[in-house]
Amino acid sequence: MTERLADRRTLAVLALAAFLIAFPFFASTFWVVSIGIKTLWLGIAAISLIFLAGTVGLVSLAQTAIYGSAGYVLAHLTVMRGWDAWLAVPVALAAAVALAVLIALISARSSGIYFLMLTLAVAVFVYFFALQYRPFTQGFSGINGVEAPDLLGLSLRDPTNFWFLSLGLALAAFLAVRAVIASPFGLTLKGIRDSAPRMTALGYNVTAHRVGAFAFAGLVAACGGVLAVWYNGQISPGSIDLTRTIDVLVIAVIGGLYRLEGAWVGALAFTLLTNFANDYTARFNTVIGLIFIGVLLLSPGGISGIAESLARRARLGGNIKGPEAGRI
Amino acid sequence: MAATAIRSRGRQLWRPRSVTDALSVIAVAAVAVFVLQFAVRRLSADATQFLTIALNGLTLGALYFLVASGFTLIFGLMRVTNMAHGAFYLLGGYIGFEVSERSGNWYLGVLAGTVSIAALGLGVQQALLRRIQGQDLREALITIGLAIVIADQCLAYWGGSPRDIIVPTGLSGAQELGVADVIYPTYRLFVLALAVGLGIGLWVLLRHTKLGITIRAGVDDRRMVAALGVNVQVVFAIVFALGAALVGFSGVAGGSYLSLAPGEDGRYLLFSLIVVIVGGMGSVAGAALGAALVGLVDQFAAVYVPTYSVLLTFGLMVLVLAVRPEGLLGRPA
Repeated sequence: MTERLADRRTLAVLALAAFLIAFPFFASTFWVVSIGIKTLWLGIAAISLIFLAGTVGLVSLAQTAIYGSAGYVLAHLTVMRGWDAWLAVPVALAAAVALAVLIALISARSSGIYFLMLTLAVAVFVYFFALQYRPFTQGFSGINGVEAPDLLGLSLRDPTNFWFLSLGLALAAFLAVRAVIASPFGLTLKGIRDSAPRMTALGYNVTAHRVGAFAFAGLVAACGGVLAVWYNGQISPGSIDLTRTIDVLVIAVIGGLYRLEGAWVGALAFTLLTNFANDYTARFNTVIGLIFIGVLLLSPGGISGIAESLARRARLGGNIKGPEAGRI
Repeated sequence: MAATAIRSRGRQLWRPRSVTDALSVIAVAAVAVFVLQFAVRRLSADATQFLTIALNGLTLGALYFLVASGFTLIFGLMRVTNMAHGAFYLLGGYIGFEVSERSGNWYLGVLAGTVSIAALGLGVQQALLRRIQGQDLREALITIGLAIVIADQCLAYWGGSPRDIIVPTGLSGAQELGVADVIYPTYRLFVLALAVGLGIGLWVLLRHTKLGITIRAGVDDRRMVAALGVNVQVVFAIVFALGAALVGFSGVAGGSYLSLAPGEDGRYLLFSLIVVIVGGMGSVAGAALGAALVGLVDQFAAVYVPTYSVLLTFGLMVLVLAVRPEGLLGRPA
């Protein structure tokens, strides 16, 4: 039984890999760029939130601010100062991680709902900073004309090349997050999530672990931010406002806060909705909001959680709730 | 020597636990000294301007208090973070606008905004939040979804252009205060009076009525209150409706001098959060103190350091959190 299941799983992963590699060659540019690539970088931003929510137990609304800051530093250095893109990328990532550490230091002493509120306040603050600090961010209009550079002689302005870069980064983010969760560090984080006082009693430094986890999540989000700024060719306060912040949250919740794949499932659902719901209704946000509420009420595990519980129900024939039912 | 002096007073006002604690207190003292000398200097330089800005800050703080009191009341008792609070504000304001526009009666608009948001709040609490009671993160996320839907529906009905509610003639115009030639809008003074009245009303309600005693007991230990035979569910419903009524009311009150427009919901949610984080979650007195501080910082910064006004408000929050993570008048969670 389990062997057959494992076989089936390998087969599914191989089929998915084949599909993803072949995708840019048979799909139209619209599908590759507007759906495919966007799903990949939105998923990278969302997985950083899923990691924080699922493993660390902290729902952060600051991930958009962090990926936005990476985007801003990159755009500022390349467009306004003429740096080479590959020199600017590490600086941008480092700046985003520094911001993540700063946010964590401010808010890591709190948890749960307080953490949500503090990170929301930080996110809005970064938005206003982008809006007001014109010498660095050019204010409301933002920094335009950011071009994706060449990588190993291949132009990333070509959709197919950019698709493979995004795919590679998304895969790297997925594997990195999975490795961190499986590491002793990840196990400690889970312990802190379940009971911070007990972990403190065992001699673990809870705040330091949370700051570390936040820095790692910040690095992942920043990779998404770099892709996003190349994808959009510009960055403005509108790219990191409250709506975008909530978009990332919606993606993570719709996809499922407890499964890493959920990030891209949610991102795909979201990009499909943004592209096609407009054909049927002008009230796109109402649709998204209702789906969001529905998922929260009915299936805390999101779309990937629904698929999982359906599969388990079919297998066991019983009415079994997943381990994450009732917990968020 | 100084430490012994403090200890000998019996109640320890402040005992440094670490170097960071000591540093943050020094930082607060430095900020206080700076603010004081700044205020004295500006007051002697141009008293009219200074007093006008101070009144602007206080009246803005009054509005923030009206908005945040409902938020902190709901949070204090039920641990529900109503992220749809800003959306409630906007919807209440729009309903008040619509009713007062059609009936020509401002007071009717206030009543409509207050009652309809109270009913909406009650419905949300009963239909959505009660089902997942106690899961505070899930409740907060659901209210975020609700905020998205309400804001989008408001945009659908009232469009993107700002709306202003016209106040009755008795409240419009300006008033001479008789101090340093300050002339100030009557309506803003009215809002200040409303906030003071509401603060006193809430104090009486919470201190001196049976419901208030039950609510306070529920804040301390809701299981114990339930065990004593109080129907906590009814108290929850009343408090949620009351908190929603307060924000619906402030939507109309605020929409009568600051325009209602899409995006304002996020602004009021943010300021409610900052006010209660600064003042202390769940404390009504803390909300009043936090609102006054945030309003004053916001208005003074807008005049003297306009580029960085938001950063200063935020700096206030970080400073308070560094010294007292539970907020000025909050209790440790």
